[in-house]
Amino acid sequence: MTISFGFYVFVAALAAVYYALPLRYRWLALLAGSVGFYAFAARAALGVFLATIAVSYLCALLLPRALARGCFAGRAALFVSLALVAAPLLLRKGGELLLSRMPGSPGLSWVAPLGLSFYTLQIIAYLADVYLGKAAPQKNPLKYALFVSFFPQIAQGPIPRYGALSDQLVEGHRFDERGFTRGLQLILWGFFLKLMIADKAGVVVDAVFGKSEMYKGLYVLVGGALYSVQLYADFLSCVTISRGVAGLFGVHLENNFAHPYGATSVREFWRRWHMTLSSWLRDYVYIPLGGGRRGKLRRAVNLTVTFAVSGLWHGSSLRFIFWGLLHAAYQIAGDLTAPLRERVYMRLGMPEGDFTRRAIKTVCTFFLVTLGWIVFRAGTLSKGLGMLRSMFTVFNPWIFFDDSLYRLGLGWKEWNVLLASICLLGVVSARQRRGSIRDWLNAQHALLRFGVYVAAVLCIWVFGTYGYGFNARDFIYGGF
Amino acid sequence: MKRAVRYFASGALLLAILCALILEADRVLVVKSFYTDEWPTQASFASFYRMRRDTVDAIILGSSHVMTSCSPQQIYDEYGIRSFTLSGEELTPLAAYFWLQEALKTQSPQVVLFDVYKCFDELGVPLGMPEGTARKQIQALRLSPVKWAFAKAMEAVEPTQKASENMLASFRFHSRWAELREEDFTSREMSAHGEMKGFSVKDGSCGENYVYAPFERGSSDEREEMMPVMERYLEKMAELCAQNGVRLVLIKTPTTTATIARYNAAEDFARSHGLDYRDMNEKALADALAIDYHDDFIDYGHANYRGARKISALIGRMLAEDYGVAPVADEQWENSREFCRAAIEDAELTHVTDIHEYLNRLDLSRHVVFVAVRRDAADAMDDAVREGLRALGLNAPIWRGSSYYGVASAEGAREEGSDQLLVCRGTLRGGRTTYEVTSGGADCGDTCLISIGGEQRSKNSPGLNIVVYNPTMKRVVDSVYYSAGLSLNR
Repeated sequence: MTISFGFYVFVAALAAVYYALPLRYRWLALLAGSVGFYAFAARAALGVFLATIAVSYLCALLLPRALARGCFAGRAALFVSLALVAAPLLLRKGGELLLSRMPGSPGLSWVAPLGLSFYTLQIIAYLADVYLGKAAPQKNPLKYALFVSFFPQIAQGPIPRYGALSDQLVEGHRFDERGFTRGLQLILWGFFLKLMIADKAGVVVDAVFGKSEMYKGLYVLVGGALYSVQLYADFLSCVTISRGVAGLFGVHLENNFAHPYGATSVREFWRRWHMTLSSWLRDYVYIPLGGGRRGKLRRAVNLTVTFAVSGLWHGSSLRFIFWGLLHAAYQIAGDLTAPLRERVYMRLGMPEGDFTRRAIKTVCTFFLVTLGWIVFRAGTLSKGLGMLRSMFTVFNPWIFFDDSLYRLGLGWKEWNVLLASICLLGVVSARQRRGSIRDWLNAQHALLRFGVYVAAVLCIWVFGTYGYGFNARDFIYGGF
Repeated sequence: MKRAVRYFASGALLLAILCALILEADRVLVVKSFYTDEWPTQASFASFYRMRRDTVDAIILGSSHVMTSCSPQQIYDEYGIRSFTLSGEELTPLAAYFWLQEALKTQSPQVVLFDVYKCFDELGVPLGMPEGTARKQIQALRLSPVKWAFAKAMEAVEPTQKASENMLASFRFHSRWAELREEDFTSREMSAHGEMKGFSVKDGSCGENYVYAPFERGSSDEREEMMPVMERYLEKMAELCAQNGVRLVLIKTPTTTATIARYNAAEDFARSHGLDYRDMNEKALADALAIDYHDDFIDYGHANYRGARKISALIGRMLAEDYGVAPVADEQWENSREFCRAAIEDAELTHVTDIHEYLNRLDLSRHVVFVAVRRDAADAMDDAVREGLRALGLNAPIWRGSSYYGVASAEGAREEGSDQLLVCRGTLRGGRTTYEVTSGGADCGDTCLISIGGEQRSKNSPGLNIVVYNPTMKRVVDSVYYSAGLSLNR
């Protein structure tokens, strides 16, 4: 919905109201806007959402009192709180996993409020922080409701921590043209990522995965690689737009990505991909289980459990759990083979920091991650495994030379636009490691800035994938 | 405060620039059809908009059947009646209603003839026409409340046709950038040609599969129901005409799919609404038309220029004698006569089989003539042929086994004869269209290629190969070859 014209009319109107109000009441505009947005976008599930807010608000207030009675009471209160808050999510994920195997079973769509997966983790983190004393419970129910329902990040994240976000939401911000401009720039970049890369790549991805009985061998590799790009661009775009919209109100949301496909190991990948989820899993699942402090075997078990939870969070199908376990297996295998690989690199004359070594590791990491994404994207686990098998057993390299790839829904001109856009993403990512591009752009003459904005908008308008036959509103991660 | 005002002012300026550029991008992206296209749907309305106010006395409204059948120029030349063929591919009553509403903003016709072909369901789709055709029809209209109402009406019938997406071209044509052509960037220039007034000249003859079987009125009581939504809009059209003092007449041009059942349904509708209905598939009118279907039509429902001649004569007579539309001299029709005549003559040229007559019919005021030899054309060069080529500015130095090329146009001629393979390159239309001519005599290549706009158009046959190109229509009119003693071959 953050691609629709109506959403931006709403944002513009809300911004006007926000900055018109006195400073100390501005948060009320955000609250009204957030609740109104949710009511419009997911009216049927509003009751479950509000009930979850109310229950978690009360639980947070009761937790310190329970802790005061003793450790056991505190833990019991925490357990009950978490169970109540997580019940809709567990019912949704676990229930569908079971019910999907029962023919004729009814769905569980009534337990699927907008952003369920995201705000549930957000609330769990809040309750855990209150329990651990890292945060004081919010006494004002309306301010707490705003923290949970803040509309730019409710549907697709990032998953904020209470300490990082709550004060920003309620303190009220003066209009800052620099911050406002940066917000608009992020929104524009988000549109570019979505319409020029994600949705365009999606045309080919849908063809390969939708007709996997036809497309085997290297088609699967092409489809998988493009899906890796599509997923990244799509998710990055929704987070970028969320940050941009939040920035219009002076609120800073965390970035969720740090150039993940530049990682040189799967472990590093998870430090760069969906960082707010990764840090949540680390802080509230992996570390409480003991992390890596209790020996290698225990670490492997903790890692497996953590990634199984990650898989289940993404979806209730067996393929998501398999995907999560695959990443756990990657990291466990990576740890076990690290000494051997180090010896091989040294034997080949590639010490730590060597460019070739880094390139090899980056490509291998991307390949391993792509294998996982192939299963992730396939409709079922068996279909995903079948596609992987065909990738290694069907020999068809001529598809790169005989125009076969132009028969997957994108002509050669669209392919060129897609590849050029991906290259631009790569250039921007590389440039961002040396400093903020927006800061550089904002320091330039207005002619150059206007020129960049006009060129970007026109490129997206003319070359973007949207309109009839393409529903750009279906962000992939909004489905979790 | 001052800073904030300056900030928003510069933002407003940027937004204004963006809106202007986006509208211009939309104008380029929207699918267009011009007088040069096979079905110039949008060209019809574009040229209609340019007609001077209240100068069109009769509008002939309908689908492509009407587009190929009704020549406003002929109607004017024979009866002095100022008419316009406002037609579009698969134009249904739903679309025609809004087109008429738009047309009545600037014109006050006495009579509107509407072809009822699309009142009946042939495609099995709610809109009665394919989605791409619907887009073209709505894009023919300028941005206005009528266009919005049209878009909403389409959305009501077919929910996938979102009204908002039909107002901005990019939403419907966002992938068109990969198919842009010259006309998309020169649309203003292309729209200057409205001489045909909606009529599209066709050539060709249909095969034996098409059987034209006029029926006798009253021979059956069968009735085929009109599509309910189309009938509703036909009623609205009748109301609209009544409100504006316009006489609405329902017609049907000859088609092989016409049936007594459809005739009865249309006749009933007309009677119940106080309208006349003239069906050219009904025996009395069909006999008056004297159509030879296989000679006068290119397929089941589209007349060629010969059939259009007959149908236009009938329409003109109907307007003059039955509905009293008076003749009025108007330079908008006077000035287009030459253009329309040339369009017919180009169609007639493709039937000429005598080389001498052929060369005499070529007109450098509108043709560019390419002549090239393959293998040997010495025997083909009799005095009359040389005289014909000389009239085109070509001296034709051709001898036994020689290569030869000649390019003749209003700007002059270039030619060369040789014992070697010859290649000549150049451009037409101010550099916009390329051409390349290759001629190889018997001992130097034995080939003949005449490429225009990158497309090889010659017959590449032994003898004299001729390609006639019309730069105004941007198309090859004809491609023939001639060897001595034979008639022209295609």
